[in-house]
Amino acid sequence: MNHWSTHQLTEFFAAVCAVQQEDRAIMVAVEQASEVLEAEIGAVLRDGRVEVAWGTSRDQLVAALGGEERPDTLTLAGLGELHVSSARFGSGSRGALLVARAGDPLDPEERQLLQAMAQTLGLALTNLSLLSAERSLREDREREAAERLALLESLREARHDSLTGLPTRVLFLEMLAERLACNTPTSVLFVDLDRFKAVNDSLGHRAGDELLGLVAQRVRACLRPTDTAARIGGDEFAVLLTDCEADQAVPVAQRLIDAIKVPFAVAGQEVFIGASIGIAAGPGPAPSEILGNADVAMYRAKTEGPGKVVLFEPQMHAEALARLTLNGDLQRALTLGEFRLQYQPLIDLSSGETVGVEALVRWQNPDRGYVSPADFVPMAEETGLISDLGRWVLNTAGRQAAAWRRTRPGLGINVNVSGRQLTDPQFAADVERMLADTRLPPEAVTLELTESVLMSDPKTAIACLRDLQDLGVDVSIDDFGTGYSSLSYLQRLPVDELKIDRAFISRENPTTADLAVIRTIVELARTLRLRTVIEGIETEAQRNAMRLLGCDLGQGYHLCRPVHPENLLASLGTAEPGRRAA
Amino acid sequence: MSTGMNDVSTGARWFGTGHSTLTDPAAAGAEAAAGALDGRVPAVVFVFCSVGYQVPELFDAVRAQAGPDTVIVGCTTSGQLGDGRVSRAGVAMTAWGGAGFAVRTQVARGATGRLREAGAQAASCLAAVGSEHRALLIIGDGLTGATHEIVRGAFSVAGAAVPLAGGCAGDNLTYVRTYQFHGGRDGVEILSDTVIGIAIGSDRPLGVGLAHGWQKQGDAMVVTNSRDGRVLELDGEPALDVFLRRLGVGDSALDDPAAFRDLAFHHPLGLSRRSGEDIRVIHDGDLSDRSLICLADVPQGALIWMMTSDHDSLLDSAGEASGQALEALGGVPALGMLVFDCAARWIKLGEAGVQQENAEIGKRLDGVPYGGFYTNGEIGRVRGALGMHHFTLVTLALA
Repeated sequence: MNHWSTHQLTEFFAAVCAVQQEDRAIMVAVEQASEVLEAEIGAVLRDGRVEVAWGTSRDQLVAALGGEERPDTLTLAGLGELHVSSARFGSGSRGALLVARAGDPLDPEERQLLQAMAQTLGLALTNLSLLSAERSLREDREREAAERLALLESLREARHDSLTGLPTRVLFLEMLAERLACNTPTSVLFVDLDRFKAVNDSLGHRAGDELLGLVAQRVRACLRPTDTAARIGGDEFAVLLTDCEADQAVPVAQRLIDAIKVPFAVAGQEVFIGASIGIAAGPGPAPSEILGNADVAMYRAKTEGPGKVVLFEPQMHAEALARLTLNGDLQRALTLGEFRLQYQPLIDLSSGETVGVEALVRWQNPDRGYVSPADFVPMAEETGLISDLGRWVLNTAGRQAAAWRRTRPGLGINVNVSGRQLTDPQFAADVERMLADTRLPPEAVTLELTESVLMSDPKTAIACLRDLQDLGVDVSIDDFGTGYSSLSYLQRLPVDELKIDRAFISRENPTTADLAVIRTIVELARTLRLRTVIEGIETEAQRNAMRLLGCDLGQGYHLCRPVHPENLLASLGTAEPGRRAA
Repeated sequence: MSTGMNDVSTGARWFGTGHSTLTDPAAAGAEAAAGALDGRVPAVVFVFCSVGYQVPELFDAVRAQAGPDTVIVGCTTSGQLGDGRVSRAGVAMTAWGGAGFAVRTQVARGATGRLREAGAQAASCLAAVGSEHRALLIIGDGLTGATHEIVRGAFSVAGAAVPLAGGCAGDNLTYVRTYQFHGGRDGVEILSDTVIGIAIGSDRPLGVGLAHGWQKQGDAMVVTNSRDGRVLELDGEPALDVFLRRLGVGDSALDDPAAFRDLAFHHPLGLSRRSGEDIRVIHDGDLSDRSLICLADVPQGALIWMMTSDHDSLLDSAGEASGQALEALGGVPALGMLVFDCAARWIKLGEAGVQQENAEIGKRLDGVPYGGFYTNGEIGRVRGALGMHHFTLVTLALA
């Protein structure tokens, strides 16, 4: 009796054709043929090779077939002798569907079914081969279309910034060239955002991207329809003002700065940023040169402080070149050991004793000679070299102070710390390692941070200062009074000392107004239980005035100039210092 | 994935069974373990129990007597047999040990949705057993559906030379949740949705038998539309309509699902095979698409018959399955036998019938110990490539 129906052949065909890969189709065919015919073994042979085996391994079947394609029987370990039936399929790619069964050989009807299955498989494989070729062709076409689309997209993206929708540098320069070709006065504003990096770092790139989009809207809103704004890259924008001389561009630039100063609502927070703008004008130079000039002017604006507008002047190129050279020299200076430290004493104004010294970094370059810290420290900050330089200063000053303290045990050491160092996650560990290496007591070390560093991001500063406070070192606010300290933050900042900026006693004989400001700061410090240091004491009159006002410590050329370490002890005399009075 | 192992063990070969119907799992486990192990260190212990016993304490006693390489496996059931007794609620343990046995296991977890892969994974433990005679036991979760895919996966690894036996875990026919057990002396995991492969190796023959005692009734039908275990059409007509008409009942037969299941238990479908029929128990009817629902595949295009049986034929099949396994030992005396009996046969036979069936097996084995459980689907493959059964009794005899 038949155990199968012709419907099963339809099912066999459907199952084999349901898969799209040839090897899967063959596997399905072998499994189904074995199951329907109740065979222990199933296989497909193509070109005399066993391609797929079911119920045994391919190697075992190859060995059992012994090179024959259609033996009557085969013997497999554990199964004994099996009756073999096979049916050929295909015309192009010829093969055979084989089953091997224990017990009874296939009866004529079963062989007929096997034959039909084999032919079905051949048909399915031919179809799959055609479909595969067609699919491959279609995929090629789709890939080509996708590539064309991607190319168009990339061309479009090359001309339009996907984030802001503004033209890119490429399109901006094309538009600038068009304007210049008309020989009309054209100004270019190069806009660089201030404090954008802080937003990106603290709120994340997504917030940074959102902010750039909002800035783009504000920039556009400040312009005439005939003007063009573009995103040049990162947090840099450019503006093309048509029919506009350079001096006429200044108020526009100022308007942009004012618009960008207004807080932005980003990621659920109010974000304060600013902008520095450089202006260059044409016609005359080539479009890319005008944009480059505006960039150089912007750079100068940046060095003058946030929110500045600077018109390009030709000598700025030379300055920019000089800065590039300086940067290169600076990079080498640390490796070549060109930095030195000088130390300037801090004097107790009431007793006249030296209680500590401030380490001041000096750079003596073989070609340049002495380079002012005011020139190289900002660049070191900008390039990140400040981290290595600051670590060198910290360790060198620490070792020197430890050496001095063998003869002057109470001597303290003040070390300047940049904003970048403060937020470096490694900084507290660096300080801790220095303390361990030098065996300096933490209270002998005061780290000086400028007011602007602390106030640009007070929340982060407080967190970083807490780490330092945990180590036991003191923290001083340097140049106090020049920034815009919020009194509420001052109360919350974990600091120990205020260093009043020299600007308040710049006159040989301080005026009443000068003294009033200093008195206020000293009283504020007392209230907050902070030590005060007055910088820049140049005259005896200043020293007396500061002493009478109650300043704890003083520093300045009148008291002692910065000296090389080998000369320090001699310049101090033998008086025993007594540090710290709050 | 986890593996258990027992390399070739030593000492005199033995096979033991224990059984307890005590309600406290720890006490029941101790009683069953005492009967099965009798102080001997087993290579493997099979623990079959009714739902409710699947707590760690059940295994305390057997773990205490286990060796470092002892494998403990098992599952919850819809009844178990051992020590010559049958229970609906209780624990049966079957164990063996001694020289020449090897046991390796592999657990495939999260089997639902990847049953074929899980079957292949479970069967991979065979590779570590190099004995002359090998068999693969499979314990599955009886609620995963499409359990034939487990067998396909296992066959793809085991091949035709290794017989398959086993059954799917039950929960006293409530179809809520079943549990599988796997572990050893250090602890036993209580799992669900797994396929456990137990590779049995022996230096003496292993024999698998299977029989069901059903006969074809009426004309063959063609399965013109089906999807896995759901039969949508027979001979081009809604399958439920054909089934109800042949039984001479109407749609109202489905009003009470339990009553319909009971009715359908007595009239399974049979897929014609060269070596007999594969029985498919109908578990439900779906009025929405007028389909019949079976727990194993009913291939579209296949010829199918309504099946009928009688009490004596079912009892005879128990002896027949036992006899087949013994005969497969090729004249070597049997040491013991594992039994995987369909839970639906219990319903068909009734309480008294089950006792008769047990006696039939005992009579055929003539003192050879045996144990096992009532399953939610039986696995048995000796011939061909298929091996998922219903309403069948599968046996594995060890020499």
